Order: sequence, then C-alpha cells, then structure tokens
Amino acid sequence: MARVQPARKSYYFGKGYADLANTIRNAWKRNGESAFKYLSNISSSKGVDGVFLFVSKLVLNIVALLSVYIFGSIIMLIMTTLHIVLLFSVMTVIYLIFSIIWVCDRLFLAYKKIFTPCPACKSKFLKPVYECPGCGELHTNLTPGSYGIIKRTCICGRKIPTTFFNGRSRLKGYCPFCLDAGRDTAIENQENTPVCIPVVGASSVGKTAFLTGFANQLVNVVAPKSRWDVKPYNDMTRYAMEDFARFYESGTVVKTARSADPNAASSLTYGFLLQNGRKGRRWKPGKLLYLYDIAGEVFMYDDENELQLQYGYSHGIVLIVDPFSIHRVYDDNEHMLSDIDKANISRADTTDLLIGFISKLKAVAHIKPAEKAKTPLAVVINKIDSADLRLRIGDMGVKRYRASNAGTELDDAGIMDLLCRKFFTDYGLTNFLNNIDLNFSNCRFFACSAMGHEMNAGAYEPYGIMEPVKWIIEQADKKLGNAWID
Amino acid sequence: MDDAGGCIGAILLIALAGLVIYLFVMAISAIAAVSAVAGCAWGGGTSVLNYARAFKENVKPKEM
Repeated sequence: MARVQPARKSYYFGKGYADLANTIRNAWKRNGESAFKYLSNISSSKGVDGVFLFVSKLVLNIVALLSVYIFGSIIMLIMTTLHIVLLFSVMTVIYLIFSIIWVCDRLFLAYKKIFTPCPACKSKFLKPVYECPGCGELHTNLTPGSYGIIKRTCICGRKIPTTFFNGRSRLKGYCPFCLDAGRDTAIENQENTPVCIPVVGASSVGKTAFLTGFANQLVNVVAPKSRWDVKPYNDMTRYAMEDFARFYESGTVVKTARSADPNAASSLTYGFLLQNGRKGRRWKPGKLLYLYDIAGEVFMYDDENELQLQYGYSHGIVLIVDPFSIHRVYDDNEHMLSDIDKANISRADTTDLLIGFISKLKAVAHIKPAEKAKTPLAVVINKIDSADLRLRIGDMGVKRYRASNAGTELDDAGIMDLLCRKFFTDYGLTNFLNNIDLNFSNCRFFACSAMGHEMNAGAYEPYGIMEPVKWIIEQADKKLGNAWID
Repeated sequence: MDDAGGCIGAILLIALAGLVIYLFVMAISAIAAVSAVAGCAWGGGTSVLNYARAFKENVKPKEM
C-alpha cells in the first residue's frame, strides 16, 4: 500500500528543510554578488580617484569583502542553527501530538473491536481507502501523521478529517485489496463494530431459508422488542431484504445462485446495521452484523471463486445440516416426508462436507492440523418440522426431556445440545461428532426449522433459528448480546 | 659658517620632509582605519541583509 499520500505534507516534515537549504544557498549567492560588487568598486576607483580616495575605497571594499564572508559565515551558522532548532522543536511537538492522536485512534478501533471486512473479497482491514470528496483522489492511509494531525489537505486543497472523532467514517471508502485487483468495492458505513457470521452448509440444507427467517425475525421481532434500529448495510442487503420479506410471506425460497462469472463472489454478504434505540444507551459506534451465505456448491466441489477469508476473522460459524441427508435418518422417516420435502433434501454427505469445511477453515485461518479452532461453531440441524424431529431434538423434545429428567441441571440450550449429539450418535455419525469435537474448542448443537413447515405452505413460521446466532453474538459482543430480547 | 648654515638647512629640509611623510602616513592610516571600520560594518550589514532577504524569499510555510 503506497505510503505517499495525495496530500500536502506538514511544513515541518518536508518543505521546512528544503526552505532552509534554499535560504543558505540563496544567502551565499547574494554574498558572492556583494563581494563581486566590492571588487568592481576597487577596479573602478583605480587610476580615477586621488590617492586618499583610492586608499579609502580600497580598504573599505577589501574589508567589506572579507566581512561579508566572515560575518556571513557566522550569521549563517547562528541563523541556521536557530532555524533547525525551531523546525525540530515544532516538528517534535507536532510529532508528539499526532502520535498521541494516532495511538488514541488505534486504541479506539482496538477497544471497540472495529475492523472492516470487505463484502466482496472478504479481506479484513482496519481502514478503507478513503476518497477525497473534492477531487476523488484516494487516500490509502488516512490517519493522523505528517500530512496533518486531525485534518489533512488533499492536493486539491480540500481539508479532510483523519480521525474517528471528526468524521473520517463519513467519507466514501473502498476496499484496498479490491482496488489492487482492479475492482472498486465501496465500503459503506465504516467504523462500526462488526460481528461476522458465515452460514455454511451443503446445497439444499436450507441456508437461504435460514437467512430469510433470521432476517425477518431480526427486523420484525427482535429489533422491536430490543428497541433496536435495524438498517440494511448497503443496497445489496436492502434488495435482499425485500426478497427475504417476499419469500417469508409466500413461504418460498430461492436457492442462492452461483454466478458463472469467475470474477463474481461465491458467497453473498448481508449486512445489518444495528443501533440501540434506547435513550442514553446508544452504541458508539453502532454494530454491524454480517451474515455470509455461501453457495452450497463450493463446499461440494471445492471450487469457490474467492477464498472465504471471513473464516479467519469470523466471530462464529453457523453450520447447517439437513438431517435427511443422513441415509439412516431418511430411511427411518421416509414415510413421514412429503414429496416436496423429499425433493428438497441435500444430497451431500454430512461428514465429507464437514471434513472439507474444516480443511478450508484451517487453511484460511492458519490453524495447525492438530490445533482446535477457537471460533464458536453452532451446528444447526434444520428442517425439524419434518417427520417427528421437533419432538425428538427440537423445543418440544427439550420439554419432553425436562419432564422426564426433572432433576437435570442443564438449561434448555444444554438439553438441546445433548439431544442433537445423541441424534447424530444414534444414526451412526460418531465420526462427524468426533471431527467437530477434535477441531473446535467451542461448539454447540441446535435444532431449528427455518420455514416452520414444508415449502409453499404459507408464510414462514420459523422456530429455533435465532438461538444459534444469539449464542454466537453473546460471545462476540456482550453489549449486543445483553441487549438482545426475543 | 656657510658650511654650518647649509647643513642646518639640509637638516630642516629633511625634517620637514619627514614631517610631511609622517603626516601623510598618519592621514593614510587614519583614512584606512576609518575605511576598515566602515568596510567591516558595510560587509557585516550586507551579509545580514543578504541572509534576511534570502530567508524572506525562501521561507514560506503558508505556500505549499
């Protein structure tokens, strides 16, 4: 990333020293001219003036010539020393001030856990490349520095803010990595605290239905109860929200299509800007919930267009499993499944997919093969509205377990985790469970139905879809987690 | 007597010439001294002015 900025450097960090050098050069040039003038005076007096006048002019000019060099040198030495001391003093003061403000800026970003994830290339960076609103010049390192402490002057003359507290985040920003690759991905609403959650799973496990249900529940249930203001992060999310609302009402879903364009992203990023609407409890800065919907094919064929770098910085991962993709579950419950249910079952092998995903996650997040990932993993068994799964592992199963185990110390989430683990064990997926336990230090199992019923049977009636995301958020951002009411 | 008178005249002449030379040298020395002081001030002042003009011409923090 270029460190030279399209801005005017502070006088005391650049031009001041050039000015000093020019002053010395110019003063010596002038002294030389003066000396030449003295010599000319002697020449013009010789043979013209009388003895006394000639002697007086000769001595006067010779002494003046010597003086101009001797005094010139002394003055130069004194003035240059003063000039340098002044420049250094002011530079030191400025350096100290901008260093303090720079440290404050960085501490603020670190304390508030602010970073910027690119919705397109998924790269993580601290600050975007900012665009000058005056001329469109790109400033790659808009921080307090030698170009300005709290403001800098762009080469066009416009003053632009350099810190979080005087409006830097209101400038238009771009992803620096996308710019390097020749794309201009706009970064909107920067400098919020992000919570990034990839939703992963094979094709047809119900990721998009999960996101549809979640987005609508977030906007229509959680936000009003929690008194949050929810806004789409960008136009793409805004349009997706409109689609989600339509799907939600009609009880349908459109599978995330994977573009044939090799430059198109393999995953879609939905961003929700969250702000606490309670008076005096506003979050400064606001929260930005990122959900990534990754086209199922990339897991099955391992041919994604871009590295899913969000695995490296995500605050939690939701892994969605279609229980009926497990052959024994399907065989045992086939008689209870409708034709629509059968038509929408994922064909991917759950364990194979998990192994592929773990390998990808470890490669991207630079986790050693023997190490466990610390990222919270929510394993979500979807489609529990089908057959009798809700009764076995869902909310009803939890109630049933509690009724028959009155003395249990487990909370509802713990019971569901237990039931889901038992479900996998009962159906011979011990290997799947072992892989999760060996590779994730923080994992919990959930059961949900994103749609609440089969497709095209009326509006969504989801259950169990908010808990996995809430569980991740509670660990990622306590303030946000504590304010969540559902 | 004439010889003695001629000798005194020569001595007086030589003394007069010496006085004139002395006065001339003194005058030249005085002029040279005054000129030297003036030259010193002139050269020194000029060097100060030269630096001041160079400073004024080159140091412009507001013109970046």
